[in-house]
Formats: sequence, structure tokens, C-alpha cells
Amino acid sequence: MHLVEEGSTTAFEIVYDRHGSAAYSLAYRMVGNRVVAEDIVQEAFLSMWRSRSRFEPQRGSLRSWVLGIVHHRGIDALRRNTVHNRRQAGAEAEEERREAAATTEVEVIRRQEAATVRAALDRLPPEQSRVLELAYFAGFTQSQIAELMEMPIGTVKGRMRLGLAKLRVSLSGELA
Amino acid sequence: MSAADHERYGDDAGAYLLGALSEDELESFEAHLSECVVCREDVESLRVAAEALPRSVDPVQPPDRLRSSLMRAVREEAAESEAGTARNRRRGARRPWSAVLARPRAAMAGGLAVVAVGLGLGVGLGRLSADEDPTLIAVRGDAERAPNARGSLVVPSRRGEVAYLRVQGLPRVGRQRVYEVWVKRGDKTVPQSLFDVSSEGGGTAGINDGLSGVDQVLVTEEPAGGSSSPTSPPLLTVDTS
Repeated sequence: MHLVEEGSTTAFEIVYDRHGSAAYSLAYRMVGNRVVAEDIVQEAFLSMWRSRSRFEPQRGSLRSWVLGIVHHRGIDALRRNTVHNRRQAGAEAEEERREAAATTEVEVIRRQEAATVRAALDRLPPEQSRVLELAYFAGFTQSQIAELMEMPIGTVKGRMRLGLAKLRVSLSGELA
Repeated sequence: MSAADHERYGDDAGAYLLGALSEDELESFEAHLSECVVCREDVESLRVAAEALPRSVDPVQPPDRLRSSLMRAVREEAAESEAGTARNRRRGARRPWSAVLARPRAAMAGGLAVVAVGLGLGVGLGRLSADEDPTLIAVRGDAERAPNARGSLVVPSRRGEVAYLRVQGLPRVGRQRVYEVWVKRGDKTVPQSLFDVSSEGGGTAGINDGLSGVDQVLVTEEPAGGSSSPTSPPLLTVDTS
């Protein structure tokens, strides 16, 4: 990463090759639209390029940094209503879905990892996994979730916190 | 930090990590976080779970064009940055964008009128400086199709030639339509980003290619998913040259 910090576009290309698929997968999962997902990933990586000196390895992995930026961009897109309307087109998202063939070792590992985290999410009480889903992937604020689920905001906050705490315990030692 | 502060924000760690705080809540919570060890520890202990969530997603292969488009933009920015550094060395100072504003604008095209300068950011043109404030360039809206549109092209001075467009008062487009931003260099028009507007007609869109050599930034209405070249006359125009 220090080569990227020094302005090496080749090193940055390697960063994209390593993390672009995970970034695109997350963006696509959030917005359900290929074109919007491409915009999000492009904007996120350009933002990383411009702020490359801000990456602090002691605060987390490069992958977490990349996915964190993509997530913020995804939430921005969702809250700008860029994609909520398009989602109503319904079948489009499924038609566009092009899952990567699990042909490489990395992809096999990613799929196993995804299955592990999904299994941990499935073990949560549904009311907790639902608020995590609505917040993280659908981009709703806690107030919007309270309104959607017709419950006090304090309950939403509690379910988010408890859900994350249980997920941490459940995944302890399972992820690299 | 008071106990009342902690009472108020202490339950927000989960929402913070999930990105579920509104802008105001986020600002308040981060201010609280800077002073509250208990909440910082809470956030750090839950972070691993929040960071696991994107890993639950099965891989989906991005299209090859994304890689090529991204790397083209990165290389252009890198070249611009190098050229800018060389220019600064020669001139001893960076070219102020305020100079652009000081130039008289080209005569208005028929049917278009200057609608506003983006004072919404609280930046007066009189205090623009190349080192501190963003430069704001007025947006011209189509008088017939977007009579209430106003906004500005914002060029943050610390981000080189990266820019973004802020608009208000644009009409909502239909479900199968979207607004698309373009940059025009000579007779070449290059797509930048797509956006929709809120019920109040507000929206923001990025100019990813930077403004080097750009004569105009345009916004058109396009079919959902965007187009590779404009299919309708521009609703908004920004003169940058």
C-alpha cells in the first residue's frame, strides 16, 4: 500500500484487482442495480486514490477500509433515492445478477466466508437480523427503521447493538 | 463529557457502525465519541461484527469496463497531478479558480438563463480563495423545462480538479428515467454519473473525470441505467472554460 501512497497507479490497479470484486458485490447487494453499483465502486475507488495517504493499517485491514468506503457511498446513493425507485422495477435486479463462477481459489474462499457469516446471521433472532439488514444493506436510518417496523427508536438501537454483539460472539475465531 | 451525554448517546454504537445515524446524529455521536472512552471501547468491540457484514455477500463479478474506466480516470488524475506539481514549481503558486470566475461568461445560449450561484454552502464569491474555499460556478437551467432549477458546480480547492454538482428545484423524473451528468471537451461528450433528485428536487452528482480541458458540464434526462451519449437536450449547463 505504501506504493499506492506514493502515487503508483500500477500498485493501485493491484488493489482494485484484489478488492474490486468484493467492493462491487457489496455495492450490488445494496443497490440491486448493475449501473448504479458500477458508479458507486468507481466513485469509491477514485475517492480512495485521492485520499490514499489516509489509510491507516493499524486501524484495520485494507479490505475493511475499501468496503467501508463503498458502504458509505452505497448509503449515500440509497438515501439520495438514486436506487430506491429503480428497485421497484423488481425483476431487473435478478435478471442482471451475474454471479461469479466459483472457479478460483479466492472465490471459493469468499463463498465459504459468505456462507459462514450468513449462517451466523441466521442464528440471530429474526428481529435483530432484520434491523441489521435494513440498516447496513438497505441504508435506512434508525429513525426510518423505527417508523417502518412501528417500534420505539430505543428498541431499534437495542436490537442493532445486541445483534452486532451476538454476531461478534458467533463469528469469534471463524473469520481470518 | 457529562453523564447526561452518555445517557443520550450511549446506545448509538450499533447504529453508528451500521451507518444508520442521520447526518445530525452522526455529527453529535462522533463529538461524543471523541470524549467518551466507554463508547469508544463499545464501538471497537462491535466493529468486527459490523465489518463481517459485507463478507456475507456472495461474490458478483464486476464488468471489465469498470476496471478500465476506473484506471483511465486514475491515470488521468495522476498525470494531472504531476503536471500541476510541475506547473506550481514553475509558477510558485497554484492557479486560482477564482480567475475562472473573474472572466466574463460567454453569451447565454437561447432559452437558458443564469439561475443561481450556490450560496447554499455558505461560501460567498467575494471570499473565494484557491487554498481554502471551494469555487462555485453557476448552473444555467433550461427556462422552459427546468424553470425552478438552481445550483452550482463545486470545485473543492484541496481536491485538485475534482468537482461535483449540487442542484435544487429539478423536476422528478419518471421511474424509468434518470438524470445523467456529462463533461464536454470540444465536440466530445463523456458520461460522468447518474443521479435522481429528492421530492424537493435536490440532488448531487460527481464529476469523476476532473475538469481539465472541459468546456461545459451538462445534465440531461436519460433512460434508467444511463446512456453512452446524450439522447436529449441539456436541462442544465455549466460553462467551465
